[in-house]
Amino acid sequence: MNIKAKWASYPYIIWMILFTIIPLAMIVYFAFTDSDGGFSFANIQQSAAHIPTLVKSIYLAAISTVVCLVLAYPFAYYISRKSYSKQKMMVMLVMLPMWMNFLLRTHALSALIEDNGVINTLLMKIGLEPIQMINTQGAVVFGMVYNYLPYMIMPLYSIMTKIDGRTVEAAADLGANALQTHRRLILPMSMPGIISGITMVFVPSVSTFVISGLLGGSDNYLIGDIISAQMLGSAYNLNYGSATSLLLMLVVLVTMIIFNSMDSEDTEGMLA
Amino acid sequence: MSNNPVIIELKNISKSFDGEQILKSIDLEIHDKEFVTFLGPSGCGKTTTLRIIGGFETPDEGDVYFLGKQINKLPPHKRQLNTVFQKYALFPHLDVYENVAFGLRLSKTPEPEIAKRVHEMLAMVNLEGYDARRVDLLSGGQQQRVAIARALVNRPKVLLLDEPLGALDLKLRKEMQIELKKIQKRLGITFIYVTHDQEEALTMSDRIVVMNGGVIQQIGTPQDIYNEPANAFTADFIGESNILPGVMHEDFLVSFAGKKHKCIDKGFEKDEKVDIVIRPEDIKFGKPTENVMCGVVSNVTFKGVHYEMTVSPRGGKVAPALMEVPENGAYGKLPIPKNGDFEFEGWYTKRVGGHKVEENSAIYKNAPHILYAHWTMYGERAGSYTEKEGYEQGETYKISFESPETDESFSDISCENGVYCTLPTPEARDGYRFAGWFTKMNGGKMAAEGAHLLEYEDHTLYAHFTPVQEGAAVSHKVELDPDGIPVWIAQSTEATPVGTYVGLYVEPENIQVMHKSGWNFSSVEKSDEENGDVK
Repeated sequence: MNIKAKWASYPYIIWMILFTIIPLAMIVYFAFTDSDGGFSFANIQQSAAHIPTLVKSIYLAAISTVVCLVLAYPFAYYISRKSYSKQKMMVMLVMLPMWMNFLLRTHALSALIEDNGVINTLLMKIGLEPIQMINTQGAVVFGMVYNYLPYMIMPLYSIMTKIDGRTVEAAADLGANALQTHRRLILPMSMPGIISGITMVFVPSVSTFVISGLLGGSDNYLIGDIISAQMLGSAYNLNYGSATSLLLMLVVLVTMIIFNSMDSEDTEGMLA
Repeated sequence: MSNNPVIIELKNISKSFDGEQILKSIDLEIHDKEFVTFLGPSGCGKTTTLRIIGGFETPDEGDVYFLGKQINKLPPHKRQLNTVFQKYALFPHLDVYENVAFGLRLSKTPEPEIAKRVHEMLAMVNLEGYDARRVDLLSGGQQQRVAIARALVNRPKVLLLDEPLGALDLKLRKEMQIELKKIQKRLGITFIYVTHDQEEALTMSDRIVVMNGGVIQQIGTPQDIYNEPANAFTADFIGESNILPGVMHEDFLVSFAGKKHKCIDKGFEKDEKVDIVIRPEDIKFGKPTENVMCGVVSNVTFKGVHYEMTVSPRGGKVAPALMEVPENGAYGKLPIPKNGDFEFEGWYTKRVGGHKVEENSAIYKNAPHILYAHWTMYGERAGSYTEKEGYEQGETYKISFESPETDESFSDISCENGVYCTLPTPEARDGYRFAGWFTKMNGGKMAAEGAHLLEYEDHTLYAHFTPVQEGAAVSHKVELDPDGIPVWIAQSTEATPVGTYVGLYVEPENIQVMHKSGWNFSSVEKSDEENGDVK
């Protein structure tokens, strides 16, 4: 490393120490201590009671990730083959909702699907029965997909624009029809984009508390809601909350390791 | 080759992109086992034609036939031909073996058969043992070989090659040319090859299709194309050539470069304007006499087997000059360059052809530009100024000036040798500019520095002024380039020293006379771009 680059990196290194490493150390400290500051495994043991909630969180986040992938993949490929100016236009449209505040968007969604919300009011006006939409798992998944879809599209799109049109023609030239070209060329070549898209959707989805809190109701409490309640809310208990956070981090870490190992292996057989 | 059956036929193919016509009714037959090259500059339509054969583009009009069957709408993966792409287009996520095996896997070939054929191909392109290499870590030449193996492993009837050697260095190029030709002979299949490199085309092809502007200029064997170019474009694009305008007076008699020459062409109209092509190796140097074209050897380049010599009328006595001309104005007096043994013919807007610029004529197209001196090659006519009737060398002549529109007065001056010497410049009144000295108060001929004394009768020159037009304050620079045409390129195994005055001898059968093709010499660039029309 040259001297200049080293010096230039110092501000972020300090930042990282202040806002990543020290807080992480504090979480670990709180997780393994009781309210008196003595060493204890009690918090970890207690948070094991939340494993069913954790499983549900993973389940809903996984469904959202799959839905995002299914929606984003063909669309990203479609725009990546367009002319440069059209690509810019489409990418802007994808990013447009992101210009609105995340909390505001989720509130707007809830206003739309509430029991007395816009959709149900319309249904009743035309003489139909109202539908239970809010406070369901479906609403939570919908909220996750709605908020995180651009995070799936962008990495896919950026990796797919790097696929040379001539290699696609070469595959066709060697006898591959559209489906075979996809399976043998475009899918394996866009694997890094798929992996980072999955990571960028799955990780925030599995830890969200705003979406589940606003759209899922009390029946669909996710792990993020529990942590938030322990850290900020009614069930205030820092040690307990830290332990649950640590558990969640562990899950995310394991998922990341699995995904990243998929990327480095021969991925063709795995997904085909 | 023509006794083999026709494998690919193009009938009346036209294609446009974004309203720009790339191909204009192309007709072509390609025979089995033939090595055909599409040759032309960038944007001539050669790559588009190849892509239509490959199925990557559909023609707007016309039909493509493969073994007699129309295949216009057949997608690429159903065509029995394979392509070696420009810049290879290898699959970066697969190793060398899998790249080559790609087509065989698609056709569900059994694994042992795949291994056998892939290794066969890799051996043929000298890449044994490279199976597990990553393709993006190979050199350009190796990637090229993988691309060839990948295309040939499917045993196509026709191989399409789109500037495949464009990215390789010269030595590797030459090796690959020989190798490709060998492979084609060995496999006995049709190669359709696209290149802008005329030498490559001449080396490898059975037949060459010369294209320009979306039109086939000529189809023929390398020998035909080289020795009997159909038009000036082909002559200029294929090999070095001397091309210049001429006039065909009658059968077997043509004049160019200021001389009449015998030739073996006939069937032209009387005094038809034609293009003349003479190959550099057909010019022999000899004694300069009045009856042949003459010039000074201005440059000698060693080309390996032979020397290439430039013979030009350049005497090196006149440096390029800059002159300023008001906008919307006219050329003032233009200097008359002197050039040893060559006679100045006039200033022209182009190095070859173009318009002759008369003194005091309006600026050509109102654009700043270069004027080129044209010279004729009458080698033995040095000092022709003084031969002008009525004037004696060494004699001085008195000129007086009148500038009726100003109060200035000029004294008489004397000019020597029958040409005007330095002429004074009168000051112009507001709103007028000085147009030049003329022989009459109104009209008359313009007297410019270095020109012959016009109708000398102890005469007076009159200053002419022209009104300056509104908004005409800006000046244009007109560059004067004294390097004249014609410049000859000659080749010989022996070098003739620079500065030697030589006569140029050309056998009548080596003078190629062609109809004017309406094609502009100065617009041709022998492009070295490697990029074709692929998006």
